[in-house]
Amino acid sequence: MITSIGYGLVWMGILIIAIGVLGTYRFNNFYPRILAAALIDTMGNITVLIGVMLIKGLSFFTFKVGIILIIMMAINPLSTHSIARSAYFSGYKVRKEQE
Amino acid sequence: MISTLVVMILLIVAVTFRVFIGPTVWDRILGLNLVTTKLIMVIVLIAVMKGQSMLLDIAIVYAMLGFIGVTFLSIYIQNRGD
Repeated sequence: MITSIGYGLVWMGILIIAIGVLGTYRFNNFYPRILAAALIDTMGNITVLIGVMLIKGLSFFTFKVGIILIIMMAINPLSTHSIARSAYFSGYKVRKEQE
Repeated sequence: MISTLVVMILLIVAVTFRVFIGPTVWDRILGLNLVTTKLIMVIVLIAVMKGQSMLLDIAIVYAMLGFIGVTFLSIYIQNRGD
């Protein structure tokens, strides 16, 4: 039963990551694009890793996946913030109402 | 488990085009960051499929190296090459 929930969570995470990739192509400006990349990709990664932890049960494998989960939750927003900060301080202008 | 791997690799190929067609240099760095995080997911899924916990060490090291690479690349561009 728990294994089936794990497989369902893995597929849901892959669906969330696919929505993030679609949002990367859907928006035509840089800052909405980086919003889709940061928020939705982090959410998809956390969902996939929790699904993997439910599949493997309580073992040493689950402990290592938990370490990867903590590292991803810390690192992914930090690197996205670093890219956005670099774009803002380099003088990237947002063009108004481009269709 | 094979089907999840196929879907993730197709998503990586879809993101890689953002690196090629990105209008600015920050779009290209953003595409590189997305490829890195998706590749970590692929390594974790391969480790689950083979049942070896040795492959997860590679995922941890790859996550840290990708973070260092993206951060220092963006700082280098922010300082305009100093």
